[in-house]
Amino acid sequence: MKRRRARLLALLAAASTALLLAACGGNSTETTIIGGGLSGGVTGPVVSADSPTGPNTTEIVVDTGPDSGFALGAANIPYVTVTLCKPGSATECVVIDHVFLDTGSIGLRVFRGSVAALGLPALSLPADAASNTPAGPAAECYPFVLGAVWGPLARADVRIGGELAPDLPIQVIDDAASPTLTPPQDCVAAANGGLLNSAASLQANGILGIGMVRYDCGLNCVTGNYAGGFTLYYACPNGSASCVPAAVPGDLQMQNPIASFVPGTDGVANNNGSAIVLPAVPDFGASIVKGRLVFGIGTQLNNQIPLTAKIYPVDANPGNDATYLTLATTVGAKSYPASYIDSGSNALFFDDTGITMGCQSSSGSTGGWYCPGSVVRNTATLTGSDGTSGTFDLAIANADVLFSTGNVGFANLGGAAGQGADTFVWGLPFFYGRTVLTSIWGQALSANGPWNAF
Amino acid sequence: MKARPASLRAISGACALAGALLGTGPAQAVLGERLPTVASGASQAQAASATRRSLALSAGVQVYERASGDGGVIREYVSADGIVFAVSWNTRFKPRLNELLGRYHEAYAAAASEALKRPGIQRQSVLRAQDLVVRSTSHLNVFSGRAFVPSLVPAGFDAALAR
Repeated sequence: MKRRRARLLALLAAASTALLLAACGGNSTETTIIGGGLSGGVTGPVVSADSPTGPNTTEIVVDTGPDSGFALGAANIPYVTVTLCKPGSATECVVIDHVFLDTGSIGLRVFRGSVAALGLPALSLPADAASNTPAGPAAECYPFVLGAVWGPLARADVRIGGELAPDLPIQVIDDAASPTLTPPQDCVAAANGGLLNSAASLQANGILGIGMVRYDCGLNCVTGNYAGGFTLYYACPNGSASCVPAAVPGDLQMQNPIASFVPGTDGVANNNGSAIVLPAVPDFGASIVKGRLVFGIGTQLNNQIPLTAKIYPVDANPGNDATYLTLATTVGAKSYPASYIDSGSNALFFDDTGITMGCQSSSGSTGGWYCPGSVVRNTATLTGSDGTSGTFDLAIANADVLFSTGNVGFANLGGAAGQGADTFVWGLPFFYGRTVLTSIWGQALSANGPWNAF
Repeated sequence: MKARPASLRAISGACALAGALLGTGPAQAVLGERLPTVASGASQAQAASATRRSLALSAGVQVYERASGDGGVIREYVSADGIVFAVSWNTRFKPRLNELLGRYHEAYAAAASEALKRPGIQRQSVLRAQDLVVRSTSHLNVFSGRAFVPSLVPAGFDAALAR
């Protein structure tokens, strides 16, 4: 640790002329503690937003992640704790910490190893003659831009904070050396040959997908139409070799757990969206960031849309293939018409060839962090599909300097999106010092979704 | 046929062609190769490309759009000599890039394997491999990206900026 400190000081000296500023301010409760006291040799600042509280909330933590070990560059990953129970049981449960809080995907995915003892019931699909889907257990190959997760679907009671989504379809990611279901070759291809099948590869013990829609697929999967892309759902009536592409009715698809939350003792269901509340982060980052995940929008006193926030609708027309589910960003003369707000992206990713790259911490073709000699500051304009717009400051610091601190929460971490990219990814740095709301399309709201508000 | 952006001028009737071959998938234009519909005229390769339409861009470049089948669109950028030098996609399912990248897919796959060594979910990616640039992003069930071969890009045309 002393060595790390010394290295940091050296780097700070080298960058002494640089003004490192956090991306944005905020009005959440904030305390800063310098020094350790927590496990894992914490040496950097700990910042936290302690409110709101209540049964419709739970804690968010950005730290070094699950016990599998922290990987360089895996900063800015927000985690929550989720409890899974056998459907209908209040005692046969497991508590899973460090589940990745992701507004860029839909559904709860956990590793088989963590729920094997529960004996969760498999999710069975009905036969569908039109799509040649046989009746049988469902499995999913859920892809990311690189990689994918594979595993069967099951049913579980999902409890987060004081909320309950009963009998919810979840995915049980197969993390065994000998998977229960061998992934189809097509899934291995969808995963670019790299299935994310361990906490180390995922940097998390699971994924809690709470994006702005209810279902992770929708109509295409209801009819089993996988034209043009990799198959998402499979039916596996007789084990591994039997997995074939499947049509899956909406209520059997993976879905946003929030949309399935049942009313609490007050008779109100906080099922139409969420807010992520995170504190501002110091210029050189924080070793731990704590915040709040709040369920429901405008359903309780503690989840009203802040008076300072605006609603930014995203493009809800699937026919607009290039901008569907996005909003627009402009920074100076550059425009990024297909931008999105995403807790599951760990930096601000955008194309600006004027910002120096060449970070030591970027290696080979995986490189891509920005490493400017001094902090780059800009003002961005975000515009919703209805024209609502607002301006936001952003700062990009040198990623090598940031990573050298040993911290894991950075408000000013940026990476390249590729020359000409029309997407500005507003990852977790955007969330620091803010309350960011994510509505769920189709749920009852004062203003119909899908939108973000901030 | 859908309305075209006013700034783009249609110069080809390729959108109305129909083929006779039964049971084929959409005709694939493959990166680095000659666009079958352009090179060989009306042929069986056009079987499912009836929705393909052609737009003219600068430097003699044509972009062919076709439905991906899942509600999305795939675009093929073709130089004046008929070579596909770039492809882009906005799709609902993760696209089968092996079908779009052709002989460049092997290099892409190797670069993707290397990039996957970085742990954690990746929502956007920029990969360079030999004579290939691929950038892609996925968010919810929206996949979009672009691949191009720098050495095949016609002079005067910025493949990185084309949408």
